[in-house]
Amino acid sequence: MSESQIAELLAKDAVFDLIRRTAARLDEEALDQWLELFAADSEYEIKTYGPEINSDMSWWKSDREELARILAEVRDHVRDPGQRLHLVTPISIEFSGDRAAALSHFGILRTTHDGKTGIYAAGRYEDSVIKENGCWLYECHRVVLDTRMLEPFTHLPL
Amino acid sequence: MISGHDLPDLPSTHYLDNRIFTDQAIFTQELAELFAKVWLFVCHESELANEGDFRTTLAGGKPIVVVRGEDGDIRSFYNICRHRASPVVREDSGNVSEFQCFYHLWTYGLDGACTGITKPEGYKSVKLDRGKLGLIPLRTETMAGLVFICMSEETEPLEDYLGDIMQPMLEPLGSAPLQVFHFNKADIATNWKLWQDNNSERYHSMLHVINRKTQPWVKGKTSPMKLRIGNNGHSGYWSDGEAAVDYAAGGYAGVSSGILPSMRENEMRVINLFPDVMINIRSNVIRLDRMVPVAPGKTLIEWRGMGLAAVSDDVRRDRLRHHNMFWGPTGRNLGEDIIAVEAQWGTMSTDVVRYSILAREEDLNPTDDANVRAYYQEWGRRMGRQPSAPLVVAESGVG
Repeated sequence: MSESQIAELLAKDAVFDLIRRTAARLDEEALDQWLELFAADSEYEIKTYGPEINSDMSWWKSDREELARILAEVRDHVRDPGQRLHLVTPISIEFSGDRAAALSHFGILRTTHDGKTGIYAAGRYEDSVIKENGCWLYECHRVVLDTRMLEPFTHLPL
Repeated sequence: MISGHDLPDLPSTHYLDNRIFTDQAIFTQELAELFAKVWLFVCHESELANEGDFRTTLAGGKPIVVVRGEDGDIRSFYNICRHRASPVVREDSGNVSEFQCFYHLWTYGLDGACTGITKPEGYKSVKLDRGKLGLIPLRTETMAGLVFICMSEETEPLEDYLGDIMQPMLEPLGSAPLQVFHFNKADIATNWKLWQDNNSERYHSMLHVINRKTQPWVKGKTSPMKLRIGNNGHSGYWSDGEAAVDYAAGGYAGVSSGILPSMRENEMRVINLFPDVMINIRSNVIRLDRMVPVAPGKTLIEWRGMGLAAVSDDVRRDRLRHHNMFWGPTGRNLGEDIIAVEAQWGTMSTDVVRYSILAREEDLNPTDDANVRAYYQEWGRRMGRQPSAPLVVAESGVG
């Protein structure tokens, strides 16, 4: 195996590790640490398709600054007390220098306070990442939902 | 000993018997006496922009299809084939030149006329007349771009039904083309009226982290926004003077771009249409809620986000951000409201506390209950039941 192939495998593992850590930090509600996975000039988005209006829709689109402000308020909200668990499967990655585009599939399980578990959401992550100071960070972390009826609604990122 | 069934020491107009939210017989009667007899919002006309565009939905528990015809008129029909009562259209939206039932392939024109019967020779001996087998039509009227249907021939025209309550909405909704940029729905575990309550009473604004910042009156100051009581149980909430929502305090500056006609920066107007619609305009964005009753403790709610169609990409971005941060399934406010009304229905249905109190009198300041009282008086008139004592049927019968 050539050095460049080894380097790409390591980079691939590093990006997929970023995506796995992202999900784990949400499950732990380690929101400050979750935000640290975003580059300074970055964006988070949740989108889906609405067959009723025959159009893509963006349900959440914030830059890093706005994300920080919203997440700082999360614990002040009256919100769903359910425990979430992300199941993430990396699918593909394309490198372009210090940038990469990664696709992953995800499902989110939700366990209520009385211990009942159900599937909360499903979709894919369509991510653009950038290598800064040796670390892979999100330039855009985009959640594309197959699920269109979120029950309950969410104050947390997905 | 205190009992949750003790009658409140209040005028009967100032409290509700909670069984109006939980009783199956009352729910069934509501479908017949309210939803089958009033005008119901079904969609915005921009969802039917072109000839052949259609939308399907449920109204009063019935499947319907709304379509723009070849003549440009919007019509609606029960979405049920006259052959064997299958749904004719199964998609949420689309564009067709004719409707074809997916099951046995009968076809219908955009005007509802039956245009084709599969293997018609089989009906020759019984002389089946397809001219009498068109889709069942519903009365359909529009106001300010909002499409309403009515299942009853006896109900007054839409304009009379709505009365003056639409006046503050006519310019923002009706004087420039709008776009529905957001549509979301959810089944929530509550009675449909509790969602309309949540959309009507302003007293619960203190629940919301954002509203505690953006609406100064929430913490006790008098608001320039006043409740308005319309005919037929409709109500509203707006200011004739100062526009007093401090969006910037909630971190949502940038609401001054793409402002809807006649709206001012930092202005909010709300109307609640009896029985099941709320329209809430915040400067540059419109939220429209529609309730579809499913069971006493289950309601399908549709939320639309709308704004001006002809705006720059920058305005579109700001407006979307503004919309999503308050509303939508990841919004700061809406999730709190749903948690509240679902929890409320859960404990209410135990019948431990039988009565709800609607007794605030504050000269139509936002936290006055006058609009909610007017709503339930209309509910009682149409149902022939007192909302404070609904299981004692009025001798006069259904109003």
